[in-house]
Amino acid sequence: MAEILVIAEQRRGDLIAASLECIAAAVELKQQGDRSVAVCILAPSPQDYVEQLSAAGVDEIITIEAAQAEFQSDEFSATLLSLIEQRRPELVLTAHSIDAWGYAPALAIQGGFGYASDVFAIRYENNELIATRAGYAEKVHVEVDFPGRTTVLLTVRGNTFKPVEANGSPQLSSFETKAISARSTHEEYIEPESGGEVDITQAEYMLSIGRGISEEDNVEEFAELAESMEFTLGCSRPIADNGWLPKYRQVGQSGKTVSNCSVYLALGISGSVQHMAGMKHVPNIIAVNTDPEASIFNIARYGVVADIFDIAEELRNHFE
Amino acid sequence: MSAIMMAHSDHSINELLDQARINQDPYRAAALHPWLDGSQRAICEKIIFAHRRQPRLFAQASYTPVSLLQRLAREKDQITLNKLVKNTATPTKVLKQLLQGDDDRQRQDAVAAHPNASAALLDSIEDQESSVRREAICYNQNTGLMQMYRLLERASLHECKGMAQNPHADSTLLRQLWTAFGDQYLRAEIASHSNCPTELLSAALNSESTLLRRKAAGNANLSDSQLVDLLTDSNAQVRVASLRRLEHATLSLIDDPARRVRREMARKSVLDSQLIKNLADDEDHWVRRWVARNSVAPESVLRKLAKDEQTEVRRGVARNSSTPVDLIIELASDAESWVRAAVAIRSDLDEEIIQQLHDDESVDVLAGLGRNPASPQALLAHIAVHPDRDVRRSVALNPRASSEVLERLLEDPYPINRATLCRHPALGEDELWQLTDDAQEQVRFSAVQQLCSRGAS
Repeated sequence: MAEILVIAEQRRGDLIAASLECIAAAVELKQQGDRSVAVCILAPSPQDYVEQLSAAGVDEIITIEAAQAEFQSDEFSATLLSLIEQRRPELVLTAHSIDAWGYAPALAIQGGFGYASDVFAIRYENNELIATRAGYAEKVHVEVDFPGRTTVLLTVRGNTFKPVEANGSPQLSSFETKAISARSTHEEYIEPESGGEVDITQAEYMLSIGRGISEEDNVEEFAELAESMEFTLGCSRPIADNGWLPKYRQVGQSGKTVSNCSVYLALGISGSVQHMAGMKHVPNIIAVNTDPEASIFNIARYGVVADIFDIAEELRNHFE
Repeated sequence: MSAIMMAHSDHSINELLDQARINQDPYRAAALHPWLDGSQRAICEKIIFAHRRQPRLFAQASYTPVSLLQRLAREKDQITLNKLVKNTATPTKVLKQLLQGDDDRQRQDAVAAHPNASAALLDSIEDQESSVRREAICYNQNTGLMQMYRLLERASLHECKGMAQNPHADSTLLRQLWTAFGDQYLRAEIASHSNCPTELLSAALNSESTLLRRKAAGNANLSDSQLVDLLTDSNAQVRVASLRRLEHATLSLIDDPARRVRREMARKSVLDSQLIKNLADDEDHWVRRWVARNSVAPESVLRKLAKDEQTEVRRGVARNSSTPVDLIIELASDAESWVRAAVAIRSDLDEEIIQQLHDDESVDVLAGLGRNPASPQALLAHIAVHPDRDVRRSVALNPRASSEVLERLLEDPYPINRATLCRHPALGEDELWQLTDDAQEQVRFSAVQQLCSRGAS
């Protein structure tokens, strides 16, 4: 039986959510054919994550005790290469994370595996694996196949698959880490800036403002509106460029992708390619713009050709 | 040959044209188009029209020069013409040119809805039989009064709402619209119109409908005494609308139960000192946030709000032009980077505060310093090579950045940063010339456009 191997990842003791999303992708693929799902975790105390990883559909969890307390790319690539060569899985999935960037391409080269990064859709077509990723700065979606590869390694984009819940009872096994002489040493862990209290990639309802806002005091008005509607406030590049909203609220190519969003209210946003790269996947886009030919209307489910201040006033009166 | 010379170099427009021709680059050709005539312009057009896709792209782009839009209006390709008529940058004269001898009804409908269509043009394409055309003209803000009277005869409720929003609608037309359907949304539009007759405005103010009273409260013709009367309205939306039109807030609202009313008061430029102190203690953080931004807030209030638990309130103080320097220095050390970023974008910063923020690791703080005209060139040079592309771009947005500093962005890997750089007046012409050969079309277009406009000025 062909195996799908998921490489789970932890950071400073916490399992990263994207690992559970990778398991979800694997379980979904398992249901498409005769395949098993194994999940491996390489960490200083791998047993600590077994309960969280025990999702329905997972057949086996492989614990690997890491020699290093912090992520070490040489240790990861050497150990995982050894594991993959022993088990010969058909497909290996891992999160498209900062750690994976550090070892996954090297691992694919060393093992001669098929490889695609930042994948957001995976399927089997006539038993051939097809992965979908973006190309040309998110302007096109590219379907990739892997002819002649017995093992394929994919890094999976976050917030693409719904994370699994732990309600399965997989069998447990362990694997020995590979002894290596690492080429780098861990010096210090610097906590990345969290961006205050808001992670717009997790927001379900977004109210995003653009150049049509005109001035800073108006930004405050729309921030007030977003709060009264219980929407998360986002913005396009010109607003962040003016210093009117922090960078972490910027949606788009040089900002963030609102992966978890289901309703996106775009006010005064014309819809540059760069902005749309971060939100065009949202199923319910509501665009308000005075220009009926604004690009944003090409991807919006609902479009309102109107003054954003008039619409905002009516929304304010409705929600207050 | 045209002989516009670049202001401070030996490069001429002829060299740019040669460059466009050798590379067969439609973007350089489009940027050059308005600056050329005769045979030179024909060379540009040959490049632009070499592939069918390119004129279509220019027909819908907001940046396309008017001279090229005029040329595109003479095209036979229907898709190009359809895109051109929908381009909001297409000026009146090109719309007029498009309509000449063109009997395509969809394009005429598009002109009817176009924001640059003049009253005369709209008059010339009136078609009472077409509901699409009628609706477009009714909602077009340029439609003239006489045409609206003609349209009124068979106008639907929806079309009447469009006319009620038209600034040219006079009191007689508005009276007719008021009685046409008895619809409260239509009447609400009339009540907010600057030409609303006094008796209709009065009827709206005394209406039982909150919508009508609210819209009437926003009418620019209400006197201060009428607005003050509305402050006692039972509905908070009406009180907010009237307060918005008043320059000052009154003490009678000091304990208004509606937070929206208190928020609106906190923004007023004339505020009683007792009132502002009360508002600064308000439990609603938005009220405090607006007080913090209010330039009439006294120093004592600002000092208190600078210690508020809410980040955005402290940021408001940092953005306030009346905040004293010692408080700005204090806020420059705030634990929240978003508050420090508000300090970083103040154009009145002295060297001491800039030094204090110099080593900050927050991208918002650094981007703020990057676009701050008060930042020294050495700091800008440092920020121009920051790993974050948005931080680097802030330097290209700084009006005081020197040409030496800007040179650091010439090979920035992010195309938007190079395109932004082209528009900077301090960027040297040799550097602009270098950007005319950029890999990205938007950069080449901007660079050529800048060189030509500098040469002409």
